[in-house]
Amino acid sequence: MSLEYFYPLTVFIENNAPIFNGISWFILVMGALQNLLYFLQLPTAWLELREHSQAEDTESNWQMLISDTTLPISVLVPAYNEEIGIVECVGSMLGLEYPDVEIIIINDGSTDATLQRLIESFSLIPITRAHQLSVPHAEVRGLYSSALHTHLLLIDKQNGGKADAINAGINFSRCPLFCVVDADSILEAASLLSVVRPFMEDPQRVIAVGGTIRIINGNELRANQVHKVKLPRKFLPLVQTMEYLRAFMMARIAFSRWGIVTIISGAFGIFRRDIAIEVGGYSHNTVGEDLEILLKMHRLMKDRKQDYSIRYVPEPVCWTEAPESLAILGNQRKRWARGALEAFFKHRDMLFNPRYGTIGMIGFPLSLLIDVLGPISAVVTYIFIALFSLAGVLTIHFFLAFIALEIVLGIFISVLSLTLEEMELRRVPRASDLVTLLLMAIIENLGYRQLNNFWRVIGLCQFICKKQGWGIMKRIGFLSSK
Amino acid sequence: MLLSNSTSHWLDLLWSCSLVFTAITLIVLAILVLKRWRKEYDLPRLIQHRTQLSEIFHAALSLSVPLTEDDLPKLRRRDRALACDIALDILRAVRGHDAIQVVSVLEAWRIRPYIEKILHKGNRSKSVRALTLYAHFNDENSLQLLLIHAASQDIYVQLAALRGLAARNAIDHLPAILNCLLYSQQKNILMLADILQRFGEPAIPLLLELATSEAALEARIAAVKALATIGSLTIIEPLLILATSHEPLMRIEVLAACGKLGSPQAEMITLKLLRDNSAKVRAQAAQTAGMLMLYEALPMLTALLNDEAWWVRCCAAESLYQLGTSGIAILHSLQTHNELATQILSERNL
Repeated sequence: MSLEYFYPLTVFIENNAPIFNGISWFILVMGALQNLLYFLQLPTAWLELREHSQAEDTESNWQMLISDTTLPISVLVPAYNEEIGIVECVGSMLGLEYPDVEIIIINDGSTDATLQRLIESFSLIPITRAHQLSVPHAEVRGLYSSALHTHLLLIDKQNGGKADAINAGINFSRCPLFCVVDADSILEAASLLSVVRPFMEDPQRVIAVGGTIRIINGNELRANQVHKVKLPRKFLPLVQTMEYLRAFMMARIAFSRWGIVTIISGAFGIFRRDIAIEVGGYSHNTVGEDLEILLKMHRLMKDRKQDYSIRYVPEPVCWTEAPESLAILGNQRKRWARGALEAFFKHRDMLFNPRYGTIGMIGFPLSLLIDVLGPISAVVTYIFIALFSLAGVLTIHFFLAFIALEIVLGIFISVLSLTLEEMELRRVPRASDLVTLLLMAIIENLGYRQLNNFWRVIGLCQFICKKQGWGIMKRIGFLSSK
Repeated sequence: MLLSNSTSHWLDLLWSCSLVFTAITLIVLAILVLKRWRKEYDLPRLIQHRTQLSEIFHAALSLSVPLTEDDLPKLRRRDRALACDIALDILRAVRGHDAIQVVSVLEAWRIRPYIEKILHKGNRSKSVRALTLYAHFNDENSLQLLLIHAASQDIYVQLAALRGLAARNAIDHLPAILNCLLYSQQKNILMLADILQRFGEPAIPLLLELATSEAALEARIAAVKALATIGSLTIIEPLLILATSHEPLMRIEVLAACGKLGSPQAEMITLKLLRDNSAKVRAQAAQTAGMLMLYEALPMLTALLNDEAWWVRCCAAESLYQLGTSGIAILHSLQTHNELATQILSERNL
């Protein structure tokens, strides 16, 4: 196609030069702002890891394991049509290294054989249990327990969604802490010992703690636990491995140090039960229930003017399944974006509200910048860069500055996150895997991140169009396949 | 053309800086990859070496006399960390003579200066490991180091030092230890209580002093918890004074201790606290009433079945069940119009 085609466009841009110069500045400033934030996050994350790393402190974990004074935890596992891997998932939960843990599986009206498989595999029998109807959920059809595994409880209820299932679990739990884990995920055996430490260190202030999520695809499993850590063999899970590593190693650790954690992953988080009840449990009308409950907790504590802390600890790991196809990955990312917007919109009065302290003034705006404004400005940028290029007004200086902000510094941040992980946690199994992840750190910035930004903007459009529901999330069933 | 020529210099600078930053990071990561490759290359040798050192420690366990320098092969300087790791692993599982044998191997290898070095210069986890090793030594110097670190500002280092002192039964130093806790910022109540109870009965007077002192609430609560676990009935009277504390957490803890100790002296205060303003205190008082088999509490427990707080109702129903025939009869009589009575009876198959 000849560039002459776009001559009118060139004329239009040149006639409105001040406007398009403004757009060019906007592109550069937004890119610079995001990179500036990452530049601040990295040293903060490094400092936090230096000061609070549990990575080598096996002795303290051991002392907690053999102590009978460790805080009891209920592990809540909502399950909907999880017949493929539910038995193995429960098996892995029963193998957790923790002195006082109760496993509560919530069958959320599955239409497959999830319930039957659980009853048969663990010799479950119907029981009753006194419980508090403190947070709303759909009707419970039955409770089951096992003489073999006295710490296992199965709640069979009518379908009501993930948030509804967790609420039922909260009502039936009797421990001061509860931990939400997805049914397609595996908790590392010692993860609860690590994740509970902030609660033990400061029981009056800490109300929620998040752990790290890593990709299970490709790992070697034995006895329902990750036996040998390996990188995924397929491209999409591999690039997500690097993406998760960057998100958890940098942003979450830094936010935790700044006291502005606004999200604890729905796949692995631990909360104080009494606070969760006070905020009314998980909300039903959102797909971003994990983000929303945390905002509700911030709001409650700030409204009460009560000193509190929400932390993230990088050492405890929950292994989860990553989508292997673009369509499913796209659905997941659109849903995440929609969920984030639903939660932010619901709590919009907290934004720049001094009443909510650092959360309202810094945490909320930063999350908004990263999760909403960032993708929008990125997509707008791609469009304008393409237009400027076609119109022949794009200078090499401006283009290289754009590439520096969008790609080169992206690679810099990813590589630095990987470096941080290698220096402080050393969870990447082999040197060759480090090289593979280094390649991913580069490739991730050459298309994958841009695609993600498009999905997020679509998520925004879905939010505006009031789209509901979770979409398709096909399970591969790693636990059952091994 | 977009943006004036005057800005092109800054745009070029941005491009150049980003390239330089990324190149530096890539070089750093490349060095880390090389280091990792080296480690992987050395791994089989390291595993073999670890096995050899472990065998030496295990051989020492089977001997009846401590080992000396002459009995052992020389230890390379770089293997000192490995030897400490193995010793710590073994010390988790052994006590008494076996622990002495393990320490004798470390002493024979003259590892003590290394342990001291990691205690002073290492990070938190290294300090914790060093103090855990010192818990098994038997000399004045290591005891002094444990005492010094019992006042550490780092909560895990402090816990490790206190644990070490408890393991060494440092009863003579209890005043100094508890003095550290008077000014401590330690908030890990549960772990602190777990360690304090290890000092046993000789610690009771000082724990009572700590519980009634001006120390932080967390330290006082830990002292009460420890006293309850030690389990002497002599503590009841001083504890009952604390039951009137204005802090709900203290009242809860004292009630829990009274229930654990099963002392009839606690009956009056339990009955009184069943009417406490704090729901958490009422719930604990209801539990304690059940543990003490306090029949005088039957009317109060029955009333608490209608308390506004679910946990209070639940604890009251549980306690009524624990009180046996009369309590169960009350639950049966309320079965039709009290949800908790119904649920508890159903849970117990009654």
